[in-house]
Amino acid sequence: MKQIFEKTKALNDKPFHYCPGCTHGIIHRILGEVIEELDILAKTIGVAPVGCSGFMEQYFNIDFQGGAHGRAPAIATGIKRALPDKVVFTYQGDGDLASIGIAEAIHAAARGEKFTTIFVNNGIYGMTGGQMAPTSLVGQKTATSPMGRDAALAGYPLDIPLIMSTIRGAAYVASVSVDTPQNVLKAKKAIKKAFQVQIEGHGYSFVSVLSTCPTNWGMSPTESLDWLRDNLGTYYTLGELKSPEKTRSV
Amino acid sequence: MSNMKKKKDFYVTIDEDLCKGCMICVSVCPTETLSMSKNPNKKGYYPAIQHAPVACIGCNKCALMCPEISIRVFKGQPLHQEAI
Amino acid sequence: MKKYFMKGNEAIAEAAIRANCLMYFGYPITPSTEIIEYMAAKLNKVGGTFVQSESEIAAMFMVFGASGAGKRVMTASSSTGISLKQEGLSYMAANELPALVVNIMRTGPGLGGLGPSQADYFQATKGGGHGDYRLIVLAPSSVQEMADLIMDGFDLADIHRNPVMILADGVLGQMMEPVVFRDAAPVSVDKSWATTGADGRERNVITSYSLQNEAGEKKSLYLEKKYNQIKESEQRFESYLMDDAEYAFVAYGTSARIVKGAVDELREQGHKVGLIRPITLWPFPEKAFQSVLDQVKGYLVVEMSAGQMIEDVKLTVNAKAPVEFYSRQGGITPQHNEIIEKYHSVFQGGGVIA
Repeated sequence: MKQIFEKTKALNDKPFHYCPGCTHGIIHRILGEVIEELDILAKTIGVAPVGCSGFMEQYFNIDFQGGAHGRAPAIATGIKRALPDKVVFTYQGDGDLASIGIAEAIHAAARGEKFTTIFVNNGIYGMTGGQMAPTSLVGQKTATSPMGRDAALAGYPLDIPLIMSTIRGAAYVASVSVDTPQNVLKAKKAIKKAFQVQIEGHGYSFVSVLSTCPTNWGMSPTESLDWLRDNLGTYYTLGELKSPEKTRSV
Repeated sequence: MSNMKKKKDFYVTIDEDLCKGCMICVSVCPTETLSMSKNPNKKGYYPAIQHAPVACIGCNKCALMCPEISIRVFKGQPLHQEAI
Repeated sequence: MKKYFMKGNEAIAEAAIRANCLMYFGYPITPSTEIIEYMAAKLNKVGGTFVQSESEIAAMFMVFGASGAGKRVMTASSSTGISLKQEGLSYMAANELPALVVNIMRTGPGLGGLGPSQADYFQATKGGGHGDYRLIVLAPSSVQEMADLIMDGFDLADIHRNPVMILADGVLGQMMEPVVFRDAAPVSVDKSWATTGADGRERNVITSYSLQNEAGEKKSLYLEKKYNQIKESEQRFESYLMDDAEYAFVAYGTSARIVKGAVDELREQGHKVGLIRPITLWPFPEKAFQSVLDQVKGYLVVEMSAGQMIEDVKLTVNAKAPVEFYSRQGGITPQHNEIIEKYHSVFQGGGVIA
């Protein structure tokens, strides 16, 4: 017998602490596979967020830094400017990137900082118990929008990959989902391309990954994948929004 | 049971200590080779099992979707024909 | 050594570069702006990296990242901008990351004004950021000291793995004086803890997060021990005419310069006075006081604030002698005659200056 699916060497043996069905596990795995397949394990430095994945460094066999909520792109800027030949990434949830850290995210892209951001968007604040996020949908019930998000009071969700794609310094912007095996493979491809864009020195690369939060959505893991597809997946722009070959040269 | 003609043998192993019983693997499996065990693991989750390895087509969908990376996929036949 | 005539802010930037600090992240704010502009003009010419960040917060965390990657790095700001950096300073101390942070103080609270101030003493020495941590705080009193303490500061930061703050004010930042740059000879320390890519070694993690209280206490005790060691070994001060002083002034930075003039004038009039000038504000130079506790009959603290360092003086003097206070605030600097008048009023039974 021959093993045709095995765990990436980028991840260690520690069991994930995430909730049953949480897609962080899938995204960590494809991220790890990309790092291993690109043969950059020894030169990659990750920057962890504050959120459910605030302990993500525990699972990866690479150098990691972790700072304050939202500030990962600033930290990554410091690391990459200090060590330009290393590969640097941030991994951030919707509170970390789209709320408190929006300035750091946009300006890192604007400056064309040569690191990669993986944006994990599940339209809710998981770690702190399910409050509304800047990416929560109108009508979505959360701990701080118990009657459903009211656009009159709380405005509309931010389509972050769409916003990032308008920034000239962003060389690669993709928006993917992990709701089906086929989409998981597409997501992995996008993440791999994002890292390649960094390695080739084109500029800032960004991959938004639509994800689930079964616990705070109040659904089973399989129901969550369906809700993701039918709701977040229909509101947010998906696809490869920007890439070096698609960008017009000046 | 699937109508697909299977030429090769495949099977999966699921680490029952890592499985959190999320059932995503069962929901994506195209040949219904997976189901949930009636016995809880050490943490109280009911893990997934491959009750019918003979139906496995090695498509990797379960392994691709497992958030705990508890599934390994193999070409060939398992050592025991019953569920692993 | 060549003598230059420079602004305090420029001397800080030049000294940093000579101390092998080739990375600068910052945001402009008066009266510290010359520092970022000097860095913008010079760093790229010497193979360094300059980034103007989107905010003082972002700059602080860029410093975090670069420091964690093993580099000497600096940022500078003023008062309200330093308020923004407090979270970052707490994180840097928690992660034992070395760096220089310069505060060219302006008035507050709030947006305040552009005049000089010493009202960030509490913020610098008592926290400002959350949790039990300390910054090593250095207070220059001349353009020469702006340069010297930067070089010392980088060494202290590396040796003790802690952020170091230079606490100056707008007068020092803007004034021009002769300055000589010594041979920096930066200390060489082991930075194998830095995140440089886990190539042939165990991977490194720079985080300060734990959900286990036992681990938290262990970390706190470790840091406490480190800070106690620094308290013991790094106190710096100047004792001016203190050998036979009956009354002691206590002042730092720009206030100390002005007080020195007042001390000289009083000495000419026959008063036995001296000045204790803290150079480290943290650790507070208790040793400067211990040697004269039995000798000094009264202390007069002069600050450009509502009274911040005076609390540490009182703690140190521990009621052995009265501790009086004189200040000007809002950007106004105290004058010799005012200080002398106050001295007479509190220690010489009032009356007009002789």
